[in-house]
Amino acid sequence: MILFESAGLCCLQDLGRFGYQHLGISPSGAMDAFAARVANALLANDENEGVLEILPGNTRLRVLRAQWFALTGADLSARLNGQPMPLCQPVWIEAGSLLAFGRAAQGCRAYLSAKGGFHAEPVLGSVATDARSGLGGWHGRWFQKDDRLPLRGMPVPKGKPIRWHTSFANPAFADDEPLLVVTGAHWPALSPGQQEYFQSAGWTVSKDADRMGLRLLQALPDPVCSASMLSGPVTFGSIQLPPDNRPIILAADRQTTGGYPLLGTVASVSHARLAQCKPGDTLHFSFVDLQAAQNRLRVREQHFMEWRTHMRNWWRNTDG
Amino acid sequence: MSEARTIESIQPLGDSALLVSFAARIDPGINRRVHALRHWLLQNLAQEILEAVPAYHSLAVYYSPMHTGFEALSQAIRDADVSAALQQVAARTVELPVCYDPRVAPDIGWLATQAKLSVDEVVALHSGAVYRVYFLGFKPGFAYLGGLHPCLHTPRKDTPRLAVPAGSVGIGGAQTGIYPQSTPGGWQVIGRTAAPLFSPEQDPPCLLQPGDQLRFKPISLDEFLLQGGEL
Repeated sequence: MILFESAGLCCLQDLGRFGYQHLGISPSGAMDAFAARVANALLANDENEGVLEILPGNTRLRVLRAQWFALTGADLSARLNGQPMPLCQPVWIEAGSLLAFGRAAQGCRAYLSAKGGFHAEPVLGSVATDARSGLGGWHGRWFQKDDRLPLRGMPVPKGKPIRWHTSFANPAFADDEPLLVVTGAHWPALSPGQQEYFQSAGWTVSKDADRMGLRLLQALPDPVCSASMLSGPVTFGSIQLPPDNRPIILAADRQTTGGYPLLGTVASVSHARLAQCKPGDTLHFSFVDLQAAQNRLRVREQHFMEWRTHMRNWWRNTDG
Repeated sequence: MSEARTIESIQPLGDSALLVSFAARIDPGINRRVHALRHWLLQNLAQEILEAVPAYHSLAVYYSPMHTGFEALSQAIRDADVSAALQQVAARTVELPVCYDPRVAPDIGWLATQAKLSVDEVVALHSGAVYRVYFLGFKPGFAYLGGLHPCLHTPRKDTPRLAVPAGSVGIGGAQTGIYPQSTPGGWQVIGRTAAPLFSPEQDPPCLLQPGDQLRFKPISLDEFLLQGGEL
């Protein structure tokens, strides 16, 4: 059991509620799905197990039963009983401990997994919180003070002290690489000057940045000549251009269809970095062809799956 | 006949989805092809794709680049023979009981005055048509309907209501629709249904499916209350 002494901004997420977009149901799911998968893999959990998605603020968790946990994604200055909480490694937390989050030192969204997972009722096959529609998560909403979230896993004996952490530590902050983008249907409607501006500008993330999408502060110069268009399906990372010419990048809680011109879609390997952007951050875009984007993803997945197997073996061989 | 001749384009929608586009019009015949192709994909390529999401004239097909590629999937779609699926998707008609009593239809009197019709004529026009569920989007269970009589086209409210009750039937511009959940909204509310449009514990979770035909059946306030409606 975990007691929310203060909730801050925290919700339960898995990898999303897929298979229902044709009914207008948003997939939701972890914004930084890769960090969530790493958090679960560190504990040899199923990768779709629910994790806590935590934003900068004062989330304070009292752990009422001992268990293994893992913290990935953003560095939110987490402290365990007053000491820095290690990132990206399994951590045995004793009953009665306090895990407190603070300001964002790096990134925006941290993920906390528990060995065996948290207890929540799946809705349409997923525990992902979709607060706008009141689906999933903890009674369809984000956590509040005094909520008590049960743990599902049985406490396993404490192993040897862990002196390593994963090479997947915070992959989202590896460098200042631009977001890779695959062009969309309306990219050719932009003038050469607009295309040049889009690729060379530093784009600032505005205050309107949440799980639904990130609105950028700057506007593309000059009006875009595109006839009024019919709504069509959109996906995670789709870059829409509304009439005010300020791009919006859609995220996990997006509506399933959109009616604005589509300049492109952020490549899967850049989703983690996108998810870790907070208001005021600067973004750059770089176009990549489809093959290159998919190859990058295949390489990362291959690397990840090998490491996940390694983690599973480590757990199998760790029995105190 | 394969779909190659009717498809206008197949483009990447990022690196894990593609977008199939037919002629860009709001047109029942074009939309039927969208749903037929979706049907065909679910029957024939269920292993290769993750899901298929329709809109007016386009269909997004989500896939994992670990298991298939854009070219292979595009070719399979161009080669698809959807003639059998076209027959299947035309079948379903849903009848939705709607109460047009002013006590649950706060804007029907205003709309009738605007349209220079009586309230009874508004009800007759609205419930006399067969609507096409072009697709669902915006909110769980929210249907984009086509087929509203031009006499009923009405501007949205200047100031949206903070809460429109679930089941409210509204008109905004050339569109009519039903609010599946209580939500803020700017449409003129001309009726309400007691039928749940979206309930996640049911299978399927939404009353309306993309591609359905829909009729509104007028009911009295008593019937509405008997069916579980609330004032």
